This record gives sequence, structure tokens and C-alpha cells, in this order.
Amino acid sequence: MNPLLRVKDLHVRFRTMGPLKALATGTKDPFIDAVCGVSFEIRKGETLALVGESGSGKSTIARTIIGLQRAVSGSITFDGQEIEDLSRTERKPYLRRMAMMFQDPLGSLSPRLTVQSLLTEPFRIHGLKDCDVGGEAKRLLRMVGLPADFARRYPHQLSGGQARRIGIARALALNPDLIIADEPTAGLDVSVQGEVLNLLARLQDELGMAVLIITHNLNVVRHMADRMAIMYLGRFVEVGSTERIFDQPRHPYTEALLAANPEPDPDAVLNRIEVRGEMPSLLRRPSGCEFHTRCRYAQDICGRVFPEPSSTPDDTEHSFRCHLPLERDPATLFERRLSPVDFTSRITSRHRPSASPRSVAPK
Amino acid sequence: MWLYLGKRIVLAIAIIAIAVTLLFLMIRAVPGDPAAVLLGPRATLEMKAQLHQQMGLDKPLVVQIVAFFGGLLHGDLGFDVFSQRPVADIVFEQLPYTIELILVSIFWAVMIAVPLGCYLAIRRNSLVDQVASVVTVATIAIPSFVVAVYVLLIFAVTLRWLPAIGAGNNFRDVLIHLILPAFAIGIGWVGYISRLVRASMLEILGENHVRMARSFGLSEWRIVARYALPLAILPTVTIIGVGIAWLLSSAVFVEVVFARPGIGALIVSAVNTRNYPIVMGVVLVTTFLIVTATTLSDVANAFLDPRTREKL
Amino acid sequence: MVIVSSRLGPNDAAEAGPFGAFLRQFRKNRVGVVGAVLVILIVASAIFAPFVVTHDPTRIMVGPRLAPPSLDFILGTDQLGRDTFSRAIMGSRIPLLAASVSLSSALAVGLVLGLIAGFGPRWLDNLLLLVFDTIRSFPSIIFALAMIALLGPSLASVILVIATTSMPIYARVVRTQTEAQRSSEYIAAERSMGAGTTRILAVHILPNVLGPLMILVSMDVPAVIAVEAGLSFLGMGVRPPTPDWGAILNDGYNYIDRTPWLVIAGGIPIVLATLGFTFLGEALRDIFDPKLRKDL
Repeated sequence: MNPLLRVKDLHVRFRTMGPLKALATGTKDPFIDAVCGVSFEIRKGETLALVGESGSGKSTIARTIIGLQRAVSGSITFDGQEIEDLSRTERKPYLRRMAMMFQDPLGSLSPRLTVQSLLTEPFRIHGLKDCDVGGEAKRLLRMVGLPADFARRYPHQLSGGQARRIGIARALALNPDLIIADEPTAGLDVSVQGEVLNLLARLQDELGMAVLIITHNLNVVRHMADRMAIMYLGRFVEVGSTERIFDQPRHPYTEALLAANPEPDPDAVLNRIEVRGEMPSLLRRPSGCEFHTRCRYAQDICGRVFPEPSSTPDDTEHSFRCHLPLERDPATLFERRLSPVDFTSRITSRHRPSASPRSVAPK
Repeated sequence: MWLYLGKRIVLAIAIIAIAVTLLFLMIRAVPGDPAAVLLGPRATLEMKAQLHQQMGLDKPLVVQIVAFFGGLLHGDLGFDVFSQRPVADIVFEQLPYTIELILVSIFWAVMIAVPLGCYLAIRRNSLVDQVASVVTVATIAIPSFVVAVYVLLIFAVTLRWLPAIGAGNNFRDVLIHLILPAFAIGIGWVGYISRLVRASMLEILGENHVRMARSFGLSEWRIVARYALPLAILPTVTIIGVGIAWLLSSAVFVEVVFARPGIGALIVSAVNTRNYPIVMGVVLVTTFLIVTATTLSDVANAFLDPRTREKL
Repeated sequence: MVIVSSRLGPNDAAEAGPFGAFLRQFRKNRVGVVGAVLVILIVASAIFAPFVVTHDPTRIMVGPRLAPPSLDFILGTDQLGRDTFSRAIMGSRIPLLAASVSLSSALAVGLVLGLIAGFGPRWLDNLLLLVFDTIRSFPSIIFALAMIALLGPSLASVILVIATTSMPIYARVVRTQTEAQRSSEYIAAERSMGAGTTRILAVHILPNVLGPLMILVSMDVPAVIAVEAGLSFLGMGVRPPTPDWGAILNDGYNYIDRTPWLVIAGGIPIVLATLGFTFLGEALRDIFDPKLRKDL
């Protein structure tokens, strides 16, 4: 079966300074590569999560798919059709079939329109004039569990959770095949986060659209995603089914992310692995494996040779970029790692407060 | 920082160059022969041709512009046919009178307005403050030429306390002649600056370190003078730099009303006689003044404000 | 920034609620009410001037010249024996006409150029900014005088000059606001739904820009009245015998040692008009957008 969306070797770069300033400061390459050769597929009705720290390029991928950002190279095919090189007008029919929910639930609503106008924007943009605007607004409000009289409200009269529901409703207005949800839980209270995720999951079950979730919140991933991809400095470092990666991460970065994630089970012994230091600047990518500057297991080779993606024989869908992937059995870790590793800092009981701040802190 | 400074200077030069070119083209675009206007209806063809040559009007437009810019670099603003003198001489002869008037006006306005603004900030929301907020808006709103005519009527014509016209000869005389014109120009600035000082003072008085000083039991005036004023005065410094255009505009009227020498009076008489070289010269000099002043105040502001300084 | 002004807008105008709230708030601003009353009086007297005047404002009388106020001539007569009161009433028409024509054309041009600068490509933005800065760097009155030297003194010249010099300020404000909106997430959201530039500008940006702009324009009315009166005072505005406040003031100035009445009659309307519009404009700004002038 053809995948719904296929992204192949996508490269996106940003200018860091004006040409004049680059000339004045003698910078030869005033660009940063925000997305660096990313490839993935989303099948119909499937949920893929892009995970990574802020600045890892995950939002840029979303913006490039939806056409807010141009790619330098690479291809994006939607339902078998190349859409990356399309002009704004040529892309319009495809934008009818995909919808994006933006990070800021309130900020993505035009402040002077009523909820009814906001919800029916997609109909007007795509020239579906003959539909019953009021009726559609009511239907969409009911779908996301908001009372019909919300139609007359303005964005500033909405709470964050309500605004997020409006965002979901609007994304679903034209019954798209793909929804891109950029941090669907950002800026919401924890209780509201759960409601929103349940709503999204329920609607996906009912309507069967594919979802691309962009988040740094691993609980969201576990809750929603069939497959997940972990991003670091604009590259995928590990891709695979959610279950498999949570169960058996192969990349040390994934391991650290998972360990940093607050455990819902209060009895679980916290297994905190800290990622050392700050994420390197995109302006100065480390040599070799780009994670080696922060990796606990880094060896000589990691600083010299750029790792190619590899996969395990038993699951070819699960791939990772690491010279020294973590093994399934924790016991073998001790044998395989040659350098002395301070394991006391790796496994801390939850009674011992961690000394350094977690680098993968929720925003 | 240097990049920003360089950019601003290039921008300023570009603005002046564009302004000059625009003016030049506008003067040439006007229907009618400037030479004919200058010489009057009884001029012969030879006279016109001679004047054309003298003014460089017989050459192509581009040559004229280039020649004009070339002259500018040597401080040559052209030649006034009426008085047979260089335009630069005439303009720079009048400029000191205007600058003197502007400086005196802004000086007395600042001397009154800064303490007034501090006082209003301390007595905020009192009756005095409320009355002052209306009065200051009024002084800003009323055009300076109306004020000028009224003070002329009251103090010079009716009461005969102060001289009505001229600029005076000796130092004392000059000062006396400046009182009414400087009042007419400065009164609006008293309102403007006092409001500005009051507003920025209130902002600073609300900040933590000032509250701290207050908790030490320092008197309000002391806090204002020692801690808040150096900060509160900053916007005023900037606004005076930007306000030079406004000052020049009022100077035009005030010089006419009080029959004072100055570039305002000069351009008005030049416009009345259609003396384009003089008009052009005055516009050039004042534009240069304004661009310099705004560039300086922008750079100073960017440098003084730590928030923008970091971005440079 | 935008939310503050969100109460002013086409969407709310239809509802009685916000408008009632506005009236209640406005009535509390006593200075604003005074301004509003003055403005209403001046505009009404300009509209109904032919019914208010007691004499033909342009007819030259053989009778008394430079006469002091009397029952027949409420504010006396001028050097040509014309009734000063009638001239002052009729004289309100020119400044108001100049203000409305020049400001509305400046508004229209400034809006379009500002939207282009704020939403168009970067080079166009820089170019337009350079143009705005150039026009702004001309000293306004001196620039006006230069233009009048070229175009000849007339009301049209005055209007053209005022429109030209005030346009860049509006364009800049529109540009700043547009640029702030442009990078906002709701514009990205609109784009992601496939909305075109025209739609984004008209439906989403324009209403957000219009509120602050209208306040700015209303606050410029007194300045325009002052410039028009000033140019007429210098004899560079309307041609005689058209009655105009600045021209009356000029007559009064010329005969200032013979009679104070002309100066008083010419200046008071200018003072009242500038004060009225200033108070009204300040009140409107205080209600709708207290931070507006700060980012200029």
C-alpha cells in the first residue's frame, strides 16, 4: 500500500545573518541546517510522533510539509504526488486534505474573528460557499465537546484548553487525511492535557485520519503514537515502533530521554540518566556522531566517524544511528562497554535528588 | 556596534542624497523657465540665455545634478542671482540667528519642564497634577504662531514692555529681543517635556530599587533627584534630537511674526519672490541638520539602552 | 499589543454592549467631553455656516473699517470693512476641508504602502522605509514652503503637502503592526489552511491595523489645522478673499497696532479647534490604546 505521506532526504536551512553582516564578519556560510536529510513515511490512519528537544528541527519538518517553509532539497509526496516544489496556489488542493494544529492554542486563532468564523475559515478559504456555515460550526463544536453558544465568542474569551479544542475542530473541519499536531499539549494544565489527548485519540478512531505529532512530551507519544522518531540536531537518531523503542531503546540519546521522562508509576525506581551539558549549537555541529559530546558511552570512533543508520535483524523497522547501540539485556552493557562508566550516577534512587538540572526539561 | 553605526551613516547619506535629487528634479519639473521667472517679463532672449549658462541650465539634467552634488561637497549651494552672492553665504549668515533662537527656547523649556515633571510625578493624581495634565496638553496643541501673535499683542503692542521686532545689537538687547520669540517656541515644549519626564519618572519610581530607597526613609524629592532623574531624563534627550524638525517649523513662524532675521524668515521671503536657489539652499541645510540630529539621537539611544545595545 | 485595541473594530461595532461601555468610559473623561463638544460645535458651524453668518463674509463694505465689536458686527470689521464674525465662521470650512481631504488621502496611501512594506519582500520593505525616512527628514513647514514655491500658493498645494508629509508616519505604523502580525502564529495557521495573501491582509491584518491607525489620524487633525492656518497666515494658503482663520490672523497681525480685535477673532477659533480635536483625540487614545504613541 502506498504511504499517505512520504518525506525523503529532506534538507531545510535557515539564514543566520544578513548577507551584509556575513560579509562584514567574514562568515562564509551564514546558514544553519535545521533539518538534515530526514526521511520517513506515514501510512493512512497511522500516528507518527517526532520527538526531540526544542531546536532539534521537528517543528521545521512540520512547517515544511504544510508549505510554510521551503526545503533546500529532498522530496515530500502526499498520496503519491510530489508537493514540495508546488507553488502556493498549486498546493492549495492538498492543504484541503491536511491540517496543522499550531503550538500556541490561542495565538493561532485570529483575534478579531468569532469562533464561528474561525471554525469555518477552511470552508471559505477553499471556496465551499454553499455549505451551511452556522450548522458546520455547531457540528464541529459538538464534535470537540463544546457548547454551541461558543460560536459567538472571541478568542480572548477562551481558556487555553477551549482554544485547543477549537484548533482541533478547525483542523478537522474539512475531514482531512492527515493532521499535523505541533505540541498539542503545550501551554495546557496537566488535567486538560489528558482531556485533549483523549479527544484527539477518540476522533482519530472515529475519522481514521493519520496524525503526525510533534512533541517533547514522551507521555503524549506513549498515549498516541504507533511509531516514533527521535530527532537530534535536525537528524533522526532512532526510528521505530513506539512499543519497541520504549521497551528497548538502542540509541543512548533515546535512553536518556526515556529515563528523564517522569514515570507515571509512583513505585517505580527512578532511573535517571542525565544528558550532560547543553545541546550543541547548529552553527557548530560536532564531528563524527553528533551526540558524542554528550554521550555517556562515547568512544574514540564516535568523535571521528559519522554513524550510518543500522537496524536489528529481528525488526527492520527499528533503525538507529549509533556505533555502539545499547543491547537488549542490560547485563551485557557491563561487558561491552570498555571504558569505566560511573554507574552510580546513572541509577539513582528517587530519594536522592539529582544534582544537575535535567536537560530534557519540559518547557 | 560599528556595523550599526556604519549602517546609520550610510542611511543618513542616502537620505540626504535622495532628498537633494528629489528637490532638484521637482524644481526642474515645474512648468516655466526659472530664468524667466527670475528676470521678469521684460527680459530679452540674450539675458535669458546668459542666465541659463550662468545657472548651468543649458546642460543635460544628469550633468546638472552631478555638478550640483560636486558643488555641495565644496560647500557650494549655488548662486543667488538677485543679490549676486553665493547661496551658502546667505544661508549661513542667517543660520546662527535661528540656532540661537532654538537653543534659547529649548533651554528655558527644559529648565522649567524637568522640575515641573518631577513635581507632578511626586504629586501624582493630585489636583495640581490633573490641572497640569490639561494645561500641558493645551500648550502642546496651540500652534506657536498663534502664541507668538498673542504675546506680541499683549507684551509688545499693548503693554509696550518688550520690543516687537528685530534681533537686537548688544548682548543685553539680544536677550531682551529673544524673550517673546523664545517664549512662543518653548511653551509647547514645556508641556511636552514635563509630560515626558512625569511619565518616565512614574515608571522608574515604580521599580524595585526605588522602592528600596524609599524604604530607607529617603525623602521623595531626594529619591527623585538622586536615583530617578538620571534615568527619567533619557527620553527627553532623545526627543529633543528628533524634535529639531518641529523646532525649525516653529522658528519659521516666529521669525516672521517678530520680523527677526533667520533662515525661516529667509525662506519665506525667498518663496514669495520665487527665488529657487535660496529655497533650495535652506531646504538642504535644514534637511542636513535634521538628518544629522535624528541619526545622532538614534545612535545615542541605541547605545544608551542596554536592550537594543545587545542586539547591535 | 493588539489585544488592547481589540475592543475597537468592525466586529464589535454592531453590538450595543461594547459601544455602550465606550460611552460610559468616555463620559468619565471630562476633558474628552469638552473636546467632543468643541469639535461638534466647530463641525456644525462649518456645515451650517451659511445659516449662522450675519453678513456676507466676502462683501466689502463702504462703512466702518477695523471697527470694534458692535451689535451689528459682533467681532468688528476688518481692514476692508468685512464682518469678522462671519468670516471666522465661514473660515472654519477651509481648515476642516484641508484636514479631512489630506488626512484621508494620507491614510489611504499610508495604509497601502505600509501593508506592502510590512508584508512584501524584504527589499521592497527596505526601499519603502528609505522613502518614508527621506520624506520624514524634510522639515515639514520648510518642505511645505518649498513645495508652495514650486506649485504656487493654493489650498490644493497645502493639502498635497500635508498629505505627503503625514503619509510616511501612517505607513510606518501600519508597517510595524503588519510586521508584528505577520510572524504571529495565527497568520501561519491561515497560510497552513491555504489562505492567500489578499485574504490574509484583508480579513486578518487590516482590522488589527485600522484601530490604532484611526486614533493616530484623529490625533493629527489639530496639527493639520495648525499647519493649514499657519501657511495661510504666511499668505501661502488660500487666496483672498476666501475667509480662513489663518488669513484673518494675518490681517490682524498686519493691523495689530490699530486694533486687537482681528487678531483675537482670527486666533481664538484656531485655539478652540486645535484644543477640541486634541482633547478628543487624547481621550480616544486613552480609552482604546494607551500605549500607542510609545512605539513610534
